[in-house]
Amino acid sequence: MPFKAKRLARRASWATACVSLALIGASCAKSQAPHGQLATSQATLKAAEELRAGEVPKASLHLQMAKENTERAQRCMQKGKHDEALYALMRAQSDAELALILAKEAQAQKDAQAALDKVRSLRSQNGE
Amino acid sequence: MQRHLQLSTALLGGFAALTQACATTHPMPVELAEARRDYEYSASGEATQAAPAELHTAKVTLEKANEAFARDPEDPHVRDLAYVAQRQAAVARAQARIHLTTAQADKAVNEVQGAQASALASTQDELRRTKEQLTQAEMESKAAMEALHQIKGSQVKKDSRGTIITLSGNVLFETGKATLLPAARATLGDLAKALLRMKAKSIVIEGYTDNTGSDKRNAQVSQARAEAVLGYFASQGINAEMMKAVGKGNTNPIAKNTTAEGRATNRRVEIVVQGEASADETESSQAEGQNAGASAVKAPAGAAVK
Repeated sequence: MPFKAKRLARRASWATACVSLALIGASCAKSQAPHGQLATSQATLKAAEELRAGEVPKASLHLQMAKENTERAQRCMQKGKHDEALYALMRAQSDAELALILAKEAQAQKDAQAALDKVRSLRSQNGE
Repeated sequence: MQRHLQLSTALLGGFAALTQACATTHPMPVELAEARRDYEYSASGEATQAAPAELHTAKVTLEKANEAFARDPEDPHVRDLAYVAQRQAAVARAQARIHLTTAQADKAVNEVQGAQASALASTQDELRRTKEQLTQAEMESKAAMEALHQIKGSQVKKDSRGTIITLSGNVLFETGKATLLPAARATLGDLAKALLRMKAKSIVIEGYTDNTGSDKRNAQVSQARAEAVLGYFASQGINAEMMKAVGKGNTNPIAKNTTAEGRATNRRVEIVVQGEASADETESSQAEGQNAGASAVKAPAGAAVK
């Protein structure tokens, strides 16, 4: 299996595991705050921000949603509403992942355009 | 028994009615409807091939949302799961777009790199062939120059005009005439072969006399002698159209006309060759005749001046 496919498969497995664990946690962790899920969401948020998701319109929207859900989760955790916090973090994680991939897409489009511009330039040099 | 069967049927019917009642009183959350729609949209596009893992993740979450709704339509977490499934379907579509964009750019880059490599190989081949041809031409020219140097009674030099081969008039012609001596034909024959090897683009044959006699007569004789040499070269296969005969008369003396020896030196034919392959080399040399009687420069004492 090529490296890229392996990486995608690992990401998918990880995402599925996160959702599953979150659901299991929700059913039996009424007294446990979802600190792990919080850390995961915050890490994904940070990755999206580093990729300048805030500068891409659609990504920026989901970035904002992720932040709002994360803050809501933290308020729930402070009030001991761990179940509600968990589901808020699931929402936050999904928005953060979407913001991240949209930022990556914007970068990929820029890179592709630069490559195509270079191709055009080379072709004109060759008299094509 | 019959009573037990009736009770089971009633219970099943009641359950069905209750489910239908639930569906009517608890419509599907908008988020779940949207999540289903988004997933179907993603699954019908490029994501199936380009982002199968991400699409599967969305499907799993959507199934959990459906299950939660089936268990309890009022479960608030149905909306949460549907929300997540919708985002995950969007992630799959975005990943597929990245894959497509990258593939298109890579393809274009590969195509132009391939064309460039092909053009480069072609240019290198052509360069190698040209070098080989040039080397061969240079070798030919060098061999031709060496052959010139071997010709009896000739002086060979290079200047701004090209390669100059000087032959004594006494070696070529009868005194006062423009008729080629029999011995001259051998010398001119060897010279013609060398000129053909040089692949010259132009040959100018210049006839010169000493200063005895009238200018008009000298011009006529020098012209006639130049034409005689041209005619012989043409008979040896040199293209007449690239040759020119010019009578210079007693102009441009290369020795003093006050001595017999000087006058003999001035009576000459100069063959100016232009456009051969190698023009960098500058050399001046004199071929030594093996036959003392065919000496190019010295005139016999008391010899006729024309």
